[in-house]
Amino acid sequence: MNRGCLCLLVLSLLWPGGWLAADGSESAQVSVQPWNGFWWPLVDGGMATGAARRRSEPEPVYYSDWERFFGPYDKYHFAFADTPRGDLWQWEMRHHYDPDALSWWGHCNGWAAAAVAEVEPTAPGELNGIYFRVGDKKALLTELHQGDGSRILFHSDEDGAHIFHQTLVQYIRDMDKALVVEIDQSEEVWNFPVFGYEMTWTDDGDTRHVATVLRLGIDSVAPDSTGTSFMTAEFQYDLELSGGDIVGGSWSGASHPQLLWDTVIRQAGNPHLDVDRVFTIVDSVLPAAKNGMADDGLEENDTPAAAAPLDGDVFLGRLLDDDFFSIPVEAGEQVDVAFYNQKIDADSQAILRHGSGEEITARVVEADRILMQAGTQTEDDTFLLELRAVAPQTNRRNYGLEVLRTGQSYYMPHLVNADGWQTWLALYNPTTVDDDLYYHFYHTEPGLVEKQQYTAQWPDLPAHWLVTGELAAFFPDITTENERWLKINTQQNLEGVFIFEHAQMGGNLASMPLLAEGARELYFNHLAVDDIWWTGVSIANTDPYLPAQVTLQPYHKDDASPLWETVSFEIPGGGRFINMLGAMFTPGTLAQAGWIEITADRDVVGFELFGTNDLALFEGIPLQHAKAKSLIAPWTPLTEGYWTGISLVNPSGGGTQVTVTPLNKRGSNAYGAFNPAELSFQLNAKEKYVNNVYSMFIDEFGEPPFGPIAYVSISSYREITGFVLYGDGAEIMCGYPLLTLEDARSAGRFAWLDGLALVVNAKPAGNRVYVTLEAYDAADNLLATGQSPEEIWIGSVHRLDPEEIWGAVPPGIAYLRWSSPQPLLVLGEVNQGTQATVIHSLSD
Amino acid sequence: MNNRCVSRTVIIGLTWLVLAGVGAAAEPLPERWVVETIYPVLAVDHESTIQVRWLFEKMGIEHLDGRDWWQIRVQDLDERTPDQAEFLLDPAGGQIMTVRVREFRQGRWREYVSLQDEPRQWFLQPLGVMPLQFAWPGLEPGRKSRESNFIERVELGHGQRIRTEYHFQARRMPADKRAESAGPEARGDVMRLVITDPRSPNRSWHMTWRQDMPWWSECVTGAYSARVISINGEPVDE
Repeated sequence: MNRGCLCLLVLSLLWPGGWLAADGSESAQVSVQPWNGFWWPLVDGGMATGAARRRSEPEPVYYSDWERFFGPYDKYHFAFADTPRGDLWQWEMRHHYDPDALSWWGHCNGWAAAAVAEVEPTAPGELNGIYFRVGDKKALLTELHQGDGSRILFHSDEDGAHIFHQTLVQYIRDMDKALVVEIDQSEEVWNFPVFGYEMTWTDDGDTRHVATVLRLGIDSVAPDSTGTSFMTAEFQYDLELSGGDIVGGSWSGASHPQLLWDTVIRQAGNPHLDVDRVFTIVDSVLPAAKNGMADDGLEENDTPAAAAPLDGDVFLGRLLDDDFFSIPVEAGEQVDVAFYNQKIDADSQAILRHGSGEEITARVVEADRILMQAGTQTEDDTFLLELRAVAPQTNRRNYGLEVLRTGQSYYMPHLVNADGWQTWLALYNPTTVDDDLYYHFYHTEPGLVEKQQYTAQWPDLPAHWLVTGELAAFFPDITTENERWLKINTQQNLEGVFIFEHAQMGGNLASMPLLAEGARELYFNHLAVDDIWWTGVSIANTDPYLPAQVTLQPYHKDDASPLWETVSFEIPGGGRFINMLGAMFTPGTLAQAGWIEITADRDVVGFELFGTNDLALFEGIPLQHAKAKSLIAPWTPLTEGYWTGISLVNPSGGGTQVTVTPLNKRGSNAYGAFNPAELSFQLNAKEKYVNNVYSMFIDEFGEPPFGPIAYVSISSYREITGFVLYGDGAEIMCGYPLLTLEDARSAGRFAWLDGLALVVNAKPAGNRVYVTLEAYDAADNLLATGQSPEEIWIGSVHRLDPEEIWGAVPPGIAYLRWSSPQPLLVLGEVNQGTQATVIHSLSD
Repeated sequence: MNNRCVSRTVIIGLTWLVLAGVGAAAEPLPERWVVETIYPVLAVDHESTIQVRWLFEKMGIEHLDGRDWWQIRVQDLDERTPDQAEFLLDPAGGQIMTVRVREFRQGRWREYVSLQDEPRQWFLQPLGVMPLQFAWPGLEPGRKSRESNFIERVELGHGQRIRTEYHFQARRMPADKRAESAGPEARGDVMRLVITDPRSPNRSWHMTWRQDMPWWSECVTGAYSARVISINGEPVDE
């Protein structure tokens, strides 16, 4: 019983009407009771993860017979031979699983709607060798109604208590129809099917005191349970009488229901859940005992030679005979393999071997699984997993397999060192632990992915070491080519910067951070393809084994409508796609497109590179997936001939209001406190806004009396994304993604590059500070130190030139370390006269 | 099968005037229209709505008391739900009666009567999920507005009867004055109705009628908003 119900029951004892003999009473109940179920909280994401938390428990609690790891969506995918953990599972993990979600968020509306609309599943079933519990079936029905449209029949904001009273009688007694009540008056939402009531009333003049006890379905029974238990909630209200008629009503107790509603139409919350498939599962039954048992979908894999590749790292199977699996692993991964054997009744053995045949003997036997611990791999390998059926299983349950890969992977989706191109890189171990680095080069061409290995100058990186140099300095025997990309596996955090340079074509720099994570939705925020500009894209598949399906959907720059021309392709496992937009889309589409949404069925990483056709201007921006409601462009220079442009994209399905505030170098509104300027505009769903800061403010509000504008802050009702591009109109073009206050740090490092200056933004600071700049050589010897020439006030922005602070750049400098007593946003601007770029600060 | 009557309504003290003919349309009234209805989705993880396109279609004519009643069937144009409703509509006199609803729930059909064989010019609390609210504007040609009250009584059994008094306002918006505010494109005037329950100030029904339709073109209630999006298979421009 929830909090609201308890409260209501206590109040009922205090109500004076309870002491009086009833003048009338009535009760009714529908003929088919809605079923009890489970509300699947978002903090567990149980439909995907398998967790099933009881409401009263602060941590996930697994029901005694629950599969623990394998949730209903895993079974759904295997029953229909989908890619394991495909779109349905992924969507649920992204949208219905959030360990930080409010504790009461869940599927109560979906369960309540399903309970009043669907027949209760009461028996387990089997489909294509996958066993479905009653709880699995109820979970699928619950999700199938999670997006139902609702016909609101009573709303406490609009309707008096007499409408509540009337609706109950008409629905339950006259129509024999259950409906749904939303019972909580706080911000929390608790929906329950209501299928019966007991009303008693006493008349007192023109007032009828009514106590109504609702019979409600229960949302927190074990997922498999069936039965007709119910809970109650009591509400008191007064009906106003006139001439014997009820003419109004008001609540007399402290609590009242919020809504009564009915489901209009079945609509899954998860868009990848197929209604026909759900009912195929729900209608499935266990075959009669005399029927033979279907084996799993990876048969025949009964010998080592016939070992089945374990795609997707999970599997649900049956051990009617021996099963063998091959499991590819990469150097740098820490690999465990879990065999969940609790539900099958076979006596079994599980043996994990290296490709050489050597057995991996480390294992932990737990109540429901055997965990085989292969540890960190130092070479690429293909394991062989042997599941031996000492006695074949005779029950109809499934065993589970899960490959647990831990460790970190970092990505640089483009490397060049041929035809005049060069890549310069910096790698930094920000942790206090020495780390081994495993470099995986993938040479990619259309139809070909080839793994490459080169001798690494830095196979391990001691704690806090920062190493820099050209590609050949890191890998002395590396060959020259422009068709490869790099993935680095580690056990610790790694940071890095890559800079591309083409010195022979006018000279320019484009920098890119080492990418730490992929995503299935990326935003390509800038594109320009015409007689002057080119734009290219590089997208790498982070999965070394399985292909990724990728689609690029451009949106119209004026009305944000999806353009008809999309580009879809498959990137093989370990593969990388690279091309110029001009070769991918027709000129008409490129002329209309404002931005491009990239979606993939597997995590991908990438960046865009753009410049003028003569390469006089050149810059790169990572394809973005981070979004925020508060953003900062910490440096938007408008003086000394500079221009700054801002691009904002609202990738969500709903519109938002965006406000951009121009700030001077002191952090005040550049138009003063008494007449501040702000630019507010509507950014519709999928819409892009792009403009230069001069036009946004100076054309709009005139010259700022307290200017010049040095940076801007951006706020939005919905999460948006964006980036900044600035330059001198001739030889300098720099770009960086918008930052948030969470990007602030109190210290950091930059690999030294000629022309490096620091842009220091004290918007996140809590007090005024001096910033210290230190120069170190490659052996961590301090070469020079100095402080910012003036105090940096809260909210202000400064450009610090290390050469001025130190007097001269010391010979042998390898990196610059900056520090501050307060958190700051710091960018590194590398300006070498005819070439420039912006790099992010590494951690300290 | 559940055929129990659910709305034994008695109309007492009705101040409504039965108004004949809102104006003869130059063309035959449409016999098929689609009402797009927007319902809220009550999920906690996102705010959204869902649209259902209800097809209203004339299936035949029934002669009762010397009048021709259209037999209207309502069903989901996209066939996502099998639920249906049927009712009789007097397109000339602006009356509705015999509203029957058929719904598929918990693996079986349920049928119930939402309005008895009792002609009405208003019907505000239909049971079920479909947008069957009805109120006839009652503005004869040349009349600009009307204001009235009407009372509905619903028997709940066990000596319980609910009486609700509604306030009704209708006004005509000439075609040349309604400019862009009229919603769906209409030939001629449109009529706007606002019905309120004085005892529940937040409870209201807003309807827009056009002269060449036997049904409202827009209806907004606290439960949903609905509008006609096609007539006789032709889309209605906004």
